[in-house]
Amino acid sequence: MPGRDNIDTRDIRLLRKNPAQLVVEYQKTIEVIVGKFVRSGMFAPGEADDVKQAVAEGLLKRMESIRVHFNGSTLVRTYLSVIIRNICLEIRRTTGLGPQTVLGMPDDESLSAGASEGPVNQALIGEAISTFKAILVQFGSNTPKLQLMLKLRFRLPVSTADILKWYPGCTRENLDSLLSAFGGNYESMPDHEVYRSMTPVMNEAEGKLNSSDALRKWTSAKIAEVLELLNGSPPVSTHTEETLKILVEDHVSPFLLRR
Amino acid sequence: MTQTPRSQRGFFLPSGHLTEEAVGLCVDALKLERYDEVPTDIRAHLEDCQACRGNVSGVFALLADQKYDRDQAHPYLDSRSWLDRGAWYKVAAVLVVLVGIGALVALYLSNRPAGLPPENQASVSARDSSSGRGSGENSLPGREDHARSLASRLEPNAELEALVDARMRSPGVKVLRPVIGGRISGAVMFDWSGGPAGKNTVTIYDNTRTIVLRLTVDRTSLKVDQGLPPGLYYWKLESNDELLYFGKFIVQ
Repeated sequence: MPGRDNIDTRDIRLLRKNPAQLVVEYQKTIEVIVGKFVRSGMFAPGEADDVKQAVAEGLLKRMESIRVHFNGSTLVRTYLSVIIRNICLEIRRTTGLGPQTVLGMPDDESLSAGASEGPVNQALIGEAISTFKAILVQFGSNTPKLQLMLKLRFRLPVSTADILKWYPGCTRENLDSLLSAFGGNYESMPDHEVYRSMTPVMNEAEGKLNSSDALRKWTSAKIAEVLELLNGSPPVSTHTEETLKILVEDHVSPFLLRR
Repeated sequence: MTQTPRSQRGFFLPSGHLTEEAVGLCVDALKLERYDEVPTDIRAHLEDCQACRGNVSGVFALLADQKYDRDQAHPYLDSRSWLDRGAWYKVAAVLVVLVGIGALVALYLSNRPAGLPPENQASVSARDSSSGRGSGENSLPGREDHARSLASRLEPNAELEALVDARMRSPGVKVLRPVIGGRISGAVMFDWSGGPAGKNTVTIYDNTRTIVLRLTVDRTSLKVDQGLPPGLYYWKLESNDELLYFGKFIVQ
């Protein structure tokens, strides 16, 4: 078995023996996280130094509690990042420092293929995509249904794998019917037609008798949740359904975006 | 700070939401692409809790540009929980496992017909239909339950039956062998034509959905010449994670 991360071993030792030094070691992490919140507009640039100082003090105050309660289930670097983020959110809540403008993440233009390919923009796009994938996974047993409905919402071609991952027991007849409707180009199909075609098989898969409107509402609610997760709470990004479509396209066909 | 046994680590607040440590564990697992190893109760909670998803996603986004080394052991995901228990439990666990293995071997020996080859690992030679040169790579074979009776091994699996003859969007794949439901003695030959260029993966399941064999080849044929016990098998052909074909056959 590979050895435990050397940095994590060091962190555990410092947490046990010299927590003040651990805060010093994580000063860079504090600067990076606060810097991201400043760029997103959560804090004004002029407040950055004060916020960093407050975060370092807050982290130091929590060290004794961390020493007692930390169970070693996660890497220390991740655990401290969770705490640093929470301290930043607490500072925003309690001191009245608030978002100026949400400067946000890549917009439509920069996410689409053919746009400027500067290294900073490409890195931000890559981060948005990996965050989107991490969000999808957390929906657990709903993930296959959500992925399928996202494809339908954005009129992306549906494959046999998409259907069978969501409904392994799908009959051959239903499979052929869905692929016939959604397996090729159906961009011009209106929304009501998409949900009307999908609902009978969805009901069969779930053993329910929902209307097509119920499926539309479920899809809209999930898209709203995904957008809220992408943008953060409080918001640090400005993703919309348009940028979400681009992220979904990249998720299903990674070669679409030049990265 | 002491290392708490894995079974006792609290991941939930009195409110029912995830602790900061649980959030950190989820972020680690997502960064390492091992999310399915996060405890079931945490994943079940995240499925329904937008607030906790927000915390996990928020931290993940902050660390999106950070590299996590998958070669290093993770303190939770790679911990061996059975070592957390006392010595007596360990001894008891080992004894139970030994007794169980002994019972399975005895049952298998009493059921196995004479003349079949030893059923340890499936031995395969991947044959190139055009050049005669073997190529391909083995993946891990699945479990083989030697103790099941022949009747139970021939029982159709309802879920897998529904997939038989399922094809992806590309109609170009034509499977020549094995015929759906074909009865085979000896070596099992897989032959197909068409499909996308590149590597193809053949996965064979027994009727309990257990993977018996999985092989990736860069040709359009494969020969499995020994090791499959008599029974009903399902198999699928994939290329680049896309399902090309799903079929079944019987080994006599």
